[in-house]
Amino acid sequence: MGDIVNWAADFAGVLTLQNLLLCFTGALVGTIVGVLPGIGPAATLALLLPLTFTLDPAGALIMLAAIYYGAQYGSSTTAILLNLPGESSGVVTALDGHRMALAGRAGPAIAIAALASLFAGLASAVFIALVAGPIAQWSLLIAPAGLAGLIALGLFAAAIIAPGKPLAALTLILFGACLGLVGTDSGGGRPRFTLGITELRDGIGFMPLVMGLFAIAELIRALESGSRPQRIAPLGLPWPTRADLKAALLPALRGTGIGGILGVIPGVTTVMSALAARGLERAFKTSDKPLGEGAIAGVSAPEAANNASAQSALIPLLTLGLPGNPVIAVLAGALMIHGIAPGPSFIDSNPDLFAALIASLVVGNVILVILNLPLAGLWASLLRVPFPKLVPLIIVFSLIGVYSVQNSLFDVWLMLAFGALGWLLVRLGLEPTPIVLGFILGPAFEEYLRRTLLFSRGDPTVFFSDPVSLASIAIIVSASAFLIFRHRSRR
Amino acid sequence: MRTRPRLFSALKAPAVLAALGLAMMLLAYTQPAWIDGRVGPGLFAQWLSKGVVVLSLLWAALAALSLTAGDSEGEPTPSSKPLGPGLALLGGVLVFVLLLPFTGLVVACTATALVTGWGAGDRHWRALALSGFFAGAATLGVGLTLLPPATRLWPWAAF
Repeated sequence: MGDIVNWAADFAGVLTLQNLLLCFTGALVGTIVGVLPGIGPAATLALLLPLTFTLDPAGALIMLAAIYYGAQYGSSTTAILLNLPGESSGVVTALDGHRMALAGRAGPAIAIAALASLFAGLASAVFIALVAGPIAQWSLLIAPAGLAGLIALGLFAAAIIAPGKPLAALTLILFGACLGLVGTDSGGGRPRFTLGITELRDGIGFMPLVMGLFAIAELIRALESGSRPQRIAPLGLPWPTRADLKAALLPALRGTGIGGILGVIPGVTTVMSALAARGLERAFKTSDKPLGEGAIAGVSAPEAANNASAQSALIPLLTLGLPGNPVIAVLAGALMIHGIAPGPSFIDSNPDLFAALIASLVVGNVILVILNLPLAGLWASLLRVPFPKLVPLIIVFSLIGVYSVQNSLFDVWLMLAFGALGWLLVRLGLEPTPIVLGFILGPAFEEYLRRTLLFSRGDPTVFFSDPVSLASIAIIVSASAFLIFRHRSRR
Repeated sequence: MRTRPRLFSALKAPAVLAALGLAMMLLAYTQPAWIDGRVGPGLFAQWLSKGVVVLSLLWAALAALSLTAGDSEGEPTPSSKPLGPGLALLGGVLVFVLLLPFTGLVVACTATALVTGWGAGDRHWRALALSGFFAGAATLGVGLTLLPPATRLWPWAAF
């Protein structure tokens, strides 16, 4: 009880006017950029990260979180109105949402998406507040070998679940981990992978890496694909009827449940949660139209699952320091720039920051509904702005962001190099995002590995005697065997 | 006869990653793996870079095998789209890096906006000029309000 009272006091403490404004701004700009197709949440976070540089850690955390779910949210509006999702999870919403829009019910579809997201967002915030603390307490008891095993498991899960070939994703993760090792070795102070370049002794900056891989490479990809809407469906009044609300309630509940649970699993993305929620709805009878023909359940379930999953994915980050997907990896990197190190001791050491995050989740979700119901048409009309007009501004702001972190021209050269690498990967048909996961987790993995081998005096069998590490290895081995068996049996 | 170009296409991605991994591996082997019985800076770097090379080769072998078996589903497909927009965007960043030390932030950003706008497909000079003007004005606004006072905005400011 005392804990809840303390937590409530912390929560109320962070609800200052300045923090509310930051939350509003983050949600607003996150939505605006998230609306643009081709620029997903990871790229949005990377692009808007410089906005937070002048803020204190709590303010930065609030704004980053608001940008994160604002970007997730922006996707659904364009998915419903234009069948043009800003990011992949909107694809599932578009299946029924756009059908509703074509039938002249865009307003109710957007309202249902907003309300389902709000419900899921609030429920997930409570879920995080209740669950994260105990998990963090438990994770403090895990030995370095176990933490190394969990990181390996998280990376493996991310690789096998990533779109495309798991082998390609795994290779890119390892390459990203190599990039994470560039700089001065934390154990002995020797330079590593620096090629004799003094600036690289501090390691590769997170900003040049993500700006190069996401801002530049994603913009080039968006320019090359060049999908623009021809016609925006009429919006109508964004108010659902009582029957709509009734039809949306149970699917939203189920979507929240499945999204909240799946989001905690490293590697699971929001689109997978949305797909799972839609799949679950097939087992139930819809009260209005069949799924795929403009059913309310086809909007509320995936939207709730998408939002719940996006938020509960914060749990492994906050409790284990384990970003389960590339978007969370970008968020983790952004937090590190602000001196916030997510991990087992994060909640205990920073109760104010944890409260700030929960406050941001609660308030931000409410702000998003207020923003999105009346302004949905305005967001959609953003897509009428020709993309060639936006590209120069996005590039210029990215450059200013990268340059201004340390007033370093070398960082801009790095951004150029990673932009070229990202473009090369995109042209080769690969997704560069796993590199960021490896970049963030590689050094942490090395640290735990080093500690483990130090305590065991170089004996690697400790990884098989530690229960958490052993369980992680067993899961990795059995999942690999299953994948190979399935691949062979398909052929 | 068509198998050869398809094989080349399927092997491109793993070959590039194997080359990157090999470069990392060569660098990793310049570091000691163990120092006085303790983990050195090279150990993990060697493991990782070897992993990149081995997985890339495995991927290449599997891609070649599946192509021979006539099943290339799920293999990454290299893009055949024109290089123009990509080169122009990277060129814009290059213009920024080259100009900044001499012209300051506002001019460098304006020039970058012009190059990237052209690369994005804006061919009308008035539209391009407008993009450049907006980018310059936005840079000036950000520079005067958010960036540290020492940031050099103009060519004539002190280094």
